[in-house]
Amino acid sequence: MTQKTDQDYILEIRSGNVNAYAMLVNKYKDMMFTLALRMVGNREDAEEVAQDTFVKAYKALDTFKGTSKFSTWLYRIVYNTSLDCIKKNKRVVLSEHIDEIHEADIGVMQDAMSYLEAKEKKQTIENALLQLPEEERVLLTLFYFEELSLKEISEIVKISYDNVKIKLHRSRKKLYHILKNVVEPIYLSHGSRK
Amino acid sequence: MEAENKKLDQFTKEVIQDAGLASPSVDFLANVMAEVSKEKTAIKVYKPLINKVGWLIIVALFLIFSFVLTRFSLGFSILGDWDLSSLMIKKHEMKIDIPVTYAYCFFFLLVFVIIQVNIISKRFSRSLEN
Repeated sequence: MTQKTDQDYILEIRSGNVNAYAMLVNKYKDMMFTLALRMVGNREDAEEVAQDTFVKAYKALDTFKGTSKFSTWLYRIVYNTSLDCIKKNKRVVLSEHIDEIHEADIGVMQDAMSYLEAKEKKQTIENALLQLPEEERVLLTLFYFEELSLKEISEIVKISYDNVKIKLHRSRKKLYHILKNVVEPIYLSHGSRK
Repeated sequence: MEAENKKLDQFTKEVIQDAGLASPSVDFLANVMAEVSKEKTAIKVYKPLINKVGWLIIVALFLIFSFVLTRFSLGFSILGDWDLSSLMIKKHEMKIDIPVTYAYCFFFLLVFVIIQVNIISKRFSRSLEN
């Protein structure tokens, strides 16, 4: 049996089968929740934002023309809904200072990261991501996790292709420095104990 | 510089993939579907009252009648020798002259109203069934 595409489910929903929407929600709920969480910074608001996004998307399903991927369309809605939530809560993230990075340092950081337990590593990365501006967290997630193209990302966050490229470059440097400040002391103290 | 960028790119990819995805609460799907079900009645695919074929028939009828009325206007009459003025109540010798054009307009308006009332009532009863 061939697997149904997003477009198949959309056609089913449009013909009145609401339950087909559950398949789409199930498919994208983790990604939507993660994007919302990385934008708003706490689980309660993220869950509300993700839920609102799915309801908004359902209401607007007739306006989805299929010129872009359904996922891209959803990510754009979750991004905008998250921005509304942030505006409401008026949170500001301070920018991280960027220093030069040397190739050898990256190798040390890779070792240091591998020293962390999986759960600890996950939490450390999440905390580091939260220190970046909201937009940069989303850019990193869409580019490195969802592996979207720069063009697709520029459509979602509504900034130019070149701007996405610059911001991505800057944000990965920032993330590196934040992680370095947290992970390296742990790694070095462990090394000195040996 | 290029090598550093490549290494940083690889490092970031590993980090973001290691972070993975977060999952919402277990009743997330149920909550969304409950909200969506409330919206179900509000979302209906737009269907025009008169579809494309209907409009084509109306345009065709209009063109045929226009042609017939202009071509055979001298000897053609759907209403025959009806004298609508005789249907009016004559009081104190008040006379109302109803022109032929008005009679035709009234006749066609009546036909369309009857057809539309029929279509609209069927449509309403169908939407109430759903």
